[in-house]
Amino acid sequence: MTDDVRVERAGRLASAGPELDAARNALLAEEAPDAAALARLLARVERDVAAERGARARIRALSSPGRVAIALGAVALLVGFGCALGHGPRVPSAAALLMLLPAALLLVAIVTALRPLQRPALPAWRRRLADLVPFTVMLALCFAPDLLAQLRGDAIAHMEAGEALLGGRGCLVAGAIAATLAFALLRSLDRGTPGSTLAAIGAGALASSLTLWALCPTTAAAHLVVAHYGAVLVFGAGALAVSGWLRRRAA
Amino acid sequence: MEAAPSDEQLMDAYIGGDAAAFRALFERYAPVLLRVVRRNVGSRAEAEDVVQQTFLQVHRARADFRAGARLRPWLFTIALNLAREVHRRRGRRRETELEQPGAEPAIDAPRDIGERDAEARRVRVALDSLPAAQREVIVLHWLEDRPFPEVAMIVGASVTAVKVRAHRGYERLRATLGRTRQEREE
Repeated sequence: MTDDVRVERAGRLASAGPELDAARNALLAEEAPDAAALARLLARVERDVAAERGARARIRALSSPGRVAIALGAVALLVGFGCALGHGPRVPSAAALLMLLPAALLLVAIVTALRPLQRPALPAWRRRLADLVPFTVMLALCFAPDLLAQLRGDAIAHMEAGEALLGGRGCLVAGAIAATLAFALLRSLDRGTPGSTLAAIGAGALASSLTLWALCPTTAAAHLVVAHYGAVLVFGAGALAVSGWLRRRAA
Repeated sequence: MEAAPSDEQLMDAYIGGDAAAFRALFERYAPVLLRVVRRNVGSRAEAEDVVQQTFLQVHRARADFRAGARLRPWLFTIALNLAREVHRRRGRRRETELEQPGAEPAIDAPRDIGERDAEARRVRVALDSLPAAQREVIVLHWLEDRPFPEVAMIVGASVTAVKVRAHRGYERLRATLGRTRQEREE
């Protein structure tokens, strides 16, 4: 017993007390795992470690800050590609400033998705909040077309519902692709942290939203909801279905 | 006689490519992690899976290990995070799946056991009845003699919160074990 523990035992507020000593001794007197069982377990661990080969094993063995940097860099490339190709807001501009909110949420989502297991788990309520906030914020931004039109000046603010549906196919596809690319990268960087799938889905959705913002000039609410948010929902449902199927297969 | 290398020295050696250092860490910590995890998940087989995963995660996360960091809280935190996931998944599985032939029950059924083993089983059942947050603290503090600051670091809570959980956990343990002792005597 270390000195720290002795001091703790002497003055601790929360203590087991002598009435639990017998119970403690009984539990500690249980047989330790036998040497053969430990040797078998070590063999399993060494097999797992030996199987950690290839590109995926190499990137997820990078440091956690390194993995976050790779994910952020990849999304920045996606958005930059969108800016170069599309009609999105040019930096610096007031419209570009609006992208800071989903960009900040994206950073939080990536850090959550790649949170290493040696850090204590986030409380469940914080995880749920981190999972839900991106989808809520993206939906809210869809309904601010007037504000967006004012900020962007040359934006196509109004669109008929039918045009929103038909004309949104390109954004639906581009958004789903961007989200899938970001999600796939995050899953490759993930070390198997429980609960990281939902955070990765949120990050994929935000990457899609930012990329479409850069690509698409339309700010009509109908188009944003159907095409941009629709891309996020299609991707999210697909990612959940595939992740669930893979988990059931592995079980 | 040369002092045994510290955990951190072994981890540094492993990062440098010394496989024997990893084995030494395993031999040093696998038994205690198995004990801690088993008291959280109940099943020996699941505890072994968790410990297997723990060492794989240590391997994957080796680039995160910095000079000056302590390895022991790392190991316990990883193991407990994985044990929590076992509970979460178990909560989604139907009860009948655990009763299939060949499946190990959540708490090992007593076979031909003496009084000491029966008492150990009663303590395991009492521990299993605690809320997860209290159980983790009790296992680390009461059974593994970890000081509260280290327990707080492992479970990711303040020292005060950990002491409150421990206090409540001990109260419940005393009540549960006192009740079962009374029932046996009647």
